[in-house]
Amino acid sequence: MQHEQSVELFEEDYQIINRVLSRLLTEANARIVLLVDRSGQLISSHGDTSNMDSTAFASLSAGNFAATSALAKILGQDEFSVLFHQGEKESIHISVVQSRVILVIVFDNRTSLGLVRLRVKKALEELSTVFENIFAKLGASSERKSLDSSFASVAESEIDNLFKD
Amino acid sequence: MSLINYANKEINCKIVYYGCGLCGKTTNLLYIHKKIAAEYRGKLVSLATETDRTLFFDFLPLDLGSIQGFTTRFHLYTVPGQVHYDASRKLILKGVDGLVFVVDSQVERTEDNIESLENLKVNLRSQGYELDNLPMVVQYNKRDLPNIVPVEELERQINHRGDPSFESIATEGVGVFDTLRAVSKLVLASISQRQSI
Amino acid sequence: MAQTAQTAKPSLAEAIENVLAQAAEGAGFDELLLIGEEGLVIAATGGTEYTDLLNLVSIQLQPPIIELRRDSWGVDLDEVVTTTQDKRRFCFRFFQAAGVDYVIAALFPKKKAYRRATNRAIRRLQKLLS
Repeated sequence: MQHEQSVELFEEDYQIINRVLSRLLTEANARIVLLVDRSGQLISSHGDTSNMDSTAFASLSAGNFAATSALAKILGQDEFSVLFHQGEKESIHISVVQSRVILVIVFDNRTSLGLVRLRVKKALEELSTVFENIFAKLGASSERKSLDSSFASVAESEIDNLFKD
Repeated sequence: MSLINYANKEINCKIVYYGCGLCGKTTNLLYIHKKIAAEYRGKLVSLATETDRTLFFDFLPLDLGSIQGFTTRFHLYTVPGQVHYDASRKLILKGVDGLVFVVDSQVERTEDNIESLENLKVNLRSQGYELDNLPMVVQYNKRDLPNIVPVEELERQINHRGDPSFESIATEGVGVFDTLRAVSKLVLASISQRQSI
Repeated sequence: MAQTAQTAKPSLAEAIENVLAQAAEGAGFDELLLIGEEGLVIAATGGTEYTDLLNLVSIQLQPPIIELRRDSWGVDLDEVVTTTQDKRRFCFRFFQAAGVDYVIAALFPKKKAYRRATNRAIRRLQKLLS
């Protein structure tokens, strides 16, 4: 079942994703563009995130999206495909890619919601194709597994080392 | 549903602390946050009510550093324990890789613990998961309190499949890291098993 | 209380749509849209093939037009028209109502007259939006 699988990203797909995001950042005149897994994990970020806790931002965006989707279900619809939060200076636009990944744009008054919306629309089409591809690959086979079999044992010593009082 | 990025060599896993209201889930995260050096952890984010009850979730990212070239991160989440926050609790389980089931050892919380475990199973199913397929560690908390159930009895009530279990006093940090170490290892072992040939 | 369709006052959204529909029909526009604050489409009529393009170009053209007006060059530039190789026209008309900037954007065959129809639509929209 697709929901139980990890999201795995390989070089070529990741490059395409980053190209799309980077262009979106420029063309929408946005401050920050984040791509986040629905479970809250940050896949990629573009723009200046030096003054921002992007890990927390990603997690909260996913929580936000999940809560709103649950609201949609209560209203008897699948989900809200777009969320928009308007602030005095900064605003956030959140949309979903292939039901699995969320695209978060942070923007200010150097651009407009209309422009962000139009640019996102185009980027979503491109990202959908990439992720459709990724999920098809994940579903199809397990031949590209590339974690070394000793990974877990190496990890154990790191865990012992770091997770202690 | 971990996120593995082979392009920039990252593995992110999600661990969820589950259990009934006031059993000590947030206290676990607070202690971990306090004890782990700032360079290995992010900020602790709490979505809580004014009375410090978890409203949506607590979130703490931990950075294990590089393992065989992969930057490995754990994202710890708690769920709101109170019964009426069930809708929110369900959402946090999305993408979970491993669970810590925190038990309030006090005699009067017996029913609540059992109910919470049942609720976990139901909510996992609603998100498309089965508890049987997920690594879990059980933590018997509040062992310092006077009126508590013996561990053997708790094991019978809760730990049906014999998962690793630990006694704890989360407010003092006792057992907190034993639990975290155990669940982290189980999660990475399970991911590694799925990924390697 | 029963109300007939004729006597019921249309909502603002309906009234705006009516203005656009009448203008488009009268002048033979293929697409016509009204873009308001934040570059968002308020109403549209006709086809949808070029809606996003018309919207996008409107958003991109609006800042220099507003800047020209603000800088008082004595030129109230209120229109940008481009003609495509396949003999179609994209027309963008800029106006204000109650201090807010709007654009109407239209797509039509090159031979069509548009100025009067869009002038009239703008006047009616200004009344509705003030």
